[in-house]
Amino acid sequence: MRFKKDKIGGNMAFRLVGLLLLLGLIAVFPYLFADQYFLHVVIMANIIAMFALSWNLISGYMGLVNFGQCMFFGAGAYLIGFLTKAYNISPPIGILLGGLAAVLLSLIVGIPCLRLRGAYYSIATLGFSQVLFTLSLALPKITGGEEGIHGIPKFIQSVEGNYYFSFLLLLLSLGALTLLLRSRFGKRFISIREDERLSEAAGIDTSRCKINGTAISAFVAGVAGAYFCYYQTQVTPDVISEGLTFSGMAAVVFGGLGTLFGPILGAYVLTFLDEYLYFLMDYRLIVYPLVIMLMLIFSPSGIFGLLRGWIKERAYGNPSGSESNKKL
Amino acid sequence: MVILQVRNLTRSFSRLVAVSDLCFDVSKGDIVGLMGPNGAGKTTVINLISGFLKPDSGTIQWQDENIAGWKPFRIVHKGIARTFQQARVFPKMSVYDNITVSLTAKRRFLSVADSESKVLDILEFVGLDRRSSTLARELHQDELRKLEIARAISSGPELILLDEPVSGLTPEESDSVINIIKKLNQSGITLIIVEHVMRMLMKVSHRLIVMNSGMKLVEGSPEEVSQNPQVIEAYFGKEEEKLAHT
Repeated sequence: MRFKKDKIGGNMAFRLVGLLLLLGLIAVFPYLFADQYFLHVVIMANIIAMFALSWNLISGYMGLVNFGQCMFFGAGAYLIGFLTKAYNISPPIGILLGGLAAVLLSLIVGIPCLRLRGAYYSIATLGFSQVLFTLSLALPKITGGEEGIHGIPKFIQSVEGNYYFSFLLLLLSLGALTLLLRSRFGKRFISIREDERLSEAAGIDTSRCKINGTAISAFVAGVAGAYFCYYQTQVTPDVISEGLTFSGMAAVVFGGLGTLFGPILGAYVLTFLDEYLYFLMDYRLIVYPLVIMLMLIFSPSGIFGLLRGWIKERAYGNPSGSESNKKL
Repeated sequence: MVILQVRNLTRSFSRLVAVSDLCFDVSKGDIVGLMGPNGAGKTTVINLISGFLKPDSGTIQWQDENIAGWKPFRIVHKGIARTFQQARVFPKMSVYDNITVSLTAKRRFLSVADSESKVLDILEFVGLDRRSSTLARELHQDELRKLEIARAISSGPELILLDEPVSGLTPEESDSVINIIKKLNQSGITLIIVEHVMRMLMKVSHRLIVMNSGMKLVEGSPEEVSQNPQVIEAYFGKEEEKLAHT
């Protein structure tokens, strides 16, 4: 059987084997390493990876730098916290509703914000998230105030179960975003990042496209937030703080902005760094931004860009693989 | 048959009147050249017709609808496409994807097979069929111009507005683009070409509109326009001024 060569130098067979190996490794991992804390860190990395993927869609692929992405994560988490306490809804429906709540919020926030461009858009989204953060403190009857909402029953009891479920959510998000971005619909998102005016000249309704993209991104963030709430059995105002947005942004920048696997790699490296550098006490807070600054200086395309360059160099002896470079 | 009627079109930027009370008609199958010295308001006219600028007053009647002030994507869907003075493409997308994005923006439910076949036809038409997988940022200047035209064609227009389509090209490259423009017109597409290089417009236009300081100076066939004293004055200055400079 012959497989079609793809753009980055691998082939379909190579990718299929790689994917199966990865899935196999994920499946057997808890049996090989029974360390519960390690599995907990993997679950947290998966949640951050989903959040990073959602930010990457809107910022990396559409070029809209959203400083308030945490509000979509928070919408999912708080909705679950409130509904579970008030109505004891079933977790699968809850996770779906968490995503839908974030979509609704994205429409409320997105329609006025999407009239703005560049830094104005970024600041407006930051402003909206700050409003929601303040509301989460100011409405204790609904949000639990500073304490948040506690005592939410776990959706899945075992760490292993959560490990598999978090991977399921991450892989579903990754698969859906991969299909989306390879479709003609997804190409419109990329065209907006490339040149919004030209996209309009090409016949694309850029406003509608941006609203759709923000809604999809919000759905992924909302689902991650809802699952986070079940996993942690609580939700606090921290989930609407800019700290979470910056964690997602850092994962994307570190892993590779505008790539599909980069944010996942970034989320893993940074989550593990954060968890396993506790012995450094507060100094670890210096390591984190330092690593990101070094990455921005020496490899702006992130770890994934570095890896891709290395693979291409091995395959072709040409890091960029571009035709013009081949001519040179 | 008149398909585009521009009436009393006016647009100012602060105190500068870029286009003033402009009126002209375009008939189906025409190639209309819009010429004039730098700052005459030619590109502003293109921006007004394509929806990139809103007029202060006046109407742009396109097939029984006044499209003045419409959003650019709606105007594209109505059958008017454009190119830009500085060639604009999606640089990190392949040549193929550049066309697909535009092709499927209007025809959303086109099957993958139909879309692929149409993209390849368009690329062949402009002579970029061998460059379909190349990233747009790696194209040469003349190829960028062809890609822009291909992108405009892919939206299925009846009228294409070409803003300085041979700017920055060598005479050989210009001829290649001019051939594409002629082929486009032969296939039934109406064209408005903005250009300040007279030679190019004389070669392809059926009719010329000369602008100066935002106003229409003269309208007529290339022969009439080339001999018009007002046009000569607008391009080369008054005889007394020339003498004063020498």
